[in-house]
Formats: sequence, C-alpha cells, structure tokens
Amino acid sequence: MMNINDSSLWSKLNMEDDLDNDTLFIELHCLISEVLGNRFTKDSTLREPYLVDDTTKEGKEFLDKQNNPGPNFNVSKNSKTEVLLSEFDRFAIKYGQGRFDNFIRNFYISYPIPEPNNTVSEYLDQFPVFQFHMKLKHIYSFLHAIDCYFKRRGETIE
Amino acid sequence: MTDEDRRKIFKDAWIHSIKSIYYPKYVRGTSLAINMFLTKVSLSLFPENNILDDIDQSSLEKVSAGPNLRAIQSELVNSNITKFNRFKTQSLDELTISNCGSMVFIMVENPIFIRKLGSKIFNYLYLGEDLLLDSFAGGIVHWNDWKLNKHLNPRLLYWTELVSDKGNKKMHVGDKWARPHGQKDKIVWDDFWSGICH
Repeated sequence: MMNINDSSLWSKLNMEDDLDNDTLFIELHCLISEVLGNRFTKDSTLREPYLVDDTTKEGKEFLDKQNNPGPNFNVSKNSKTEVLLSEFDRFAIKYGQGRFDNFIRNFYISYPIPEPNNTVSEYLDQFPVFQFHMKLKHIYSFLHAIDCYFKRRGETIE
Repeated sequence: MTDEDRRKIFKDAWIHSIKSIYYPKYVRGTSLAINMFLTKVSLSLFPENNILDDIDQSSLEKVSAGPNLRAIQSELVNSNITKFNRFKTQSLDELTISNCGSMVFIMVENPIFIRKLGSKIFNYLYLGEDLLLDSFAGGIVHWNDWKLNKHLNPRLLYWTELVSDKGNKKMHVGDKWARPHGQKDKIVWDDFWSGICH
C-alpha cells in the first residue's frame, strides 16, 4: 500500500507544513482510494467481473478463480475495513485524537441523506453491494469505517 | 508565486475535486474530480473574465461511466476546442514540464476481460516526470510501473493541451474566456505548474 504522504507530490507541495482539516480530508480520501484499489500498478487486476467474457475459456477460468478463491482468501470487505481502521489510528496520532474524532464524527453526522431514510446506514443499505458505482464505494467505505471506528470503542454516533 | 501560494491553490482545488465525489449531484454518474480540480485551479489563477465560473458541469456528471464516455471524448477530439495529441511513443517523455496539468488518457484493451466495451479509457492529470493523478484525485500513478501490467495491457492514448494560442478555438462569451487563454495566461499557468512538477 502506498500512502499519499510518501509521494513526491506531497513533499513538493510541503503538505506536512499545513496539517489542517483539509489536509486530513485529502489524506483520508487518498487512503480510501488506495484501499479500494483505484490506483493502478503493474499488479492490478480487473475488479469488474461483469465485464469479463464468460464465453471464453480464459474468461471462465478468471471468473471461477474470482468466485472460488480458496481457503486462504481473506474476506476483502473486513480486511479493507481493518486497514482503514489501522490508518485511522495513525491519523488520530498525527492530527490529534480529539481533532480527528471530531472531523470524522461531523462528516458522518452531517452527511446528507435523502428522505425517507432515517440513518446513513439505512440509506446505504438499499444499494446492492455488487452494483456499487465507484463513487458509492468511496462514500460507503468511508462512512462504514467511521461507524466501525466508534463502535470499536463502544460508542454510537447515530 | 511562492511555494506556499502554489500549495494553497493546489490544495483548494484538491478539496474541491474530492467534495465532488463525496457530495455528488448524480451519485452513479461520472467522476468529475479532475474537471473540478482544473476548474478550481483556473479560477484561482484567473478569477476575472473566466467563463469556467459560469459552466454547470453536472450535465457531464449525469452521463454514466462507460461507452458514453468514448462518444464524449470522440466529440472533444473532433470539436477542436481542446488540442489533442496522440502519443507517438509509449512514453510520458513526450510531455515537457510546461505540459504539467494536462490530461492524459490511457486505454486498456483486452478482448476477454473487457467484453462489453472492447476497451476502457482512464483519464489522469499529468504531474510531471512519471507521475499521474488518477481520475478520483485519490492516487498517484507511476506510469513506468502501470505500463508493465500484462493483465490489462495499458497504453498511452493521447494528451490534451490546456493552454492554447489565440489562434485556436476556445470557449468564450464576449470578453469572458475559458482561461488560461493567450500568452500572458500561459506564463502564469506555467509558473504555477513548474513549481510543483519540477
């Protein structure tokens, strides 16, 4: 995994000299993007199985491997959330516990949701997971990780 | 322009583009992050007589990502509003430091893995040397690494020139232009990017 603060762009902009809430939001967004696999490398694979041609032998084999990853496969949703929570802990140290908590709590509480949804979770639950658009994946991953972050401490934020 | 000025402008644009992802008008639509980023940089550098302030980009967001994007890109190429340059080699060395802030389009082609489209196009913001900011403004891609992907076979398609000469077509209404426009603007634009992409 690559942290945005390890990139040459980050150092060229001297972003560490200006650690305000905007910088925190940028770091959080880049973290989520990285965990979701947006950033392509030489090892990236296709993450949209619906695009794969299942009428070809190679395509069938690829889909079969995706659907039956074997006993050593980590459940990605949980492992991704664990990575996010681990990095949240790092940000809490870097930006200060109280400030970090306030930022993500305010983001969660003030996140706009259309009626008649009562909570963010209820709003997001109506979308089928595998039809998620990438923007929804970002929103869901961030809000879900915030929820887990506070629940881990026995706190409820809604 | 100081490094602090550059950071402030870049950071404001970055936040503006990120908010377009978390607070979208059309949640299932196309990511406008790079458009929002460039618009904000333009408006910060050229706050006056800038037509970008008047353009509602939500219609672009409404178009879902997929085959429609290819049609839009084709129209942009044919419209001559923006200058498109096809890559002659598979190297970002074709771009110079004055091309920082340009958009770079990369196509991945694999008939088995991209059945419905035949190809898929990604857009990036060129940040100099080997670096590209991805279309969600959330990751820095190293082309020299990404190009080695055997699974998706990425290849450089074309890059845009944001700064045009006055001889080129450009959007305007009266004296309001899509800026940067003209040599004076180009100097300011290049000064901003040269301090970031050096």
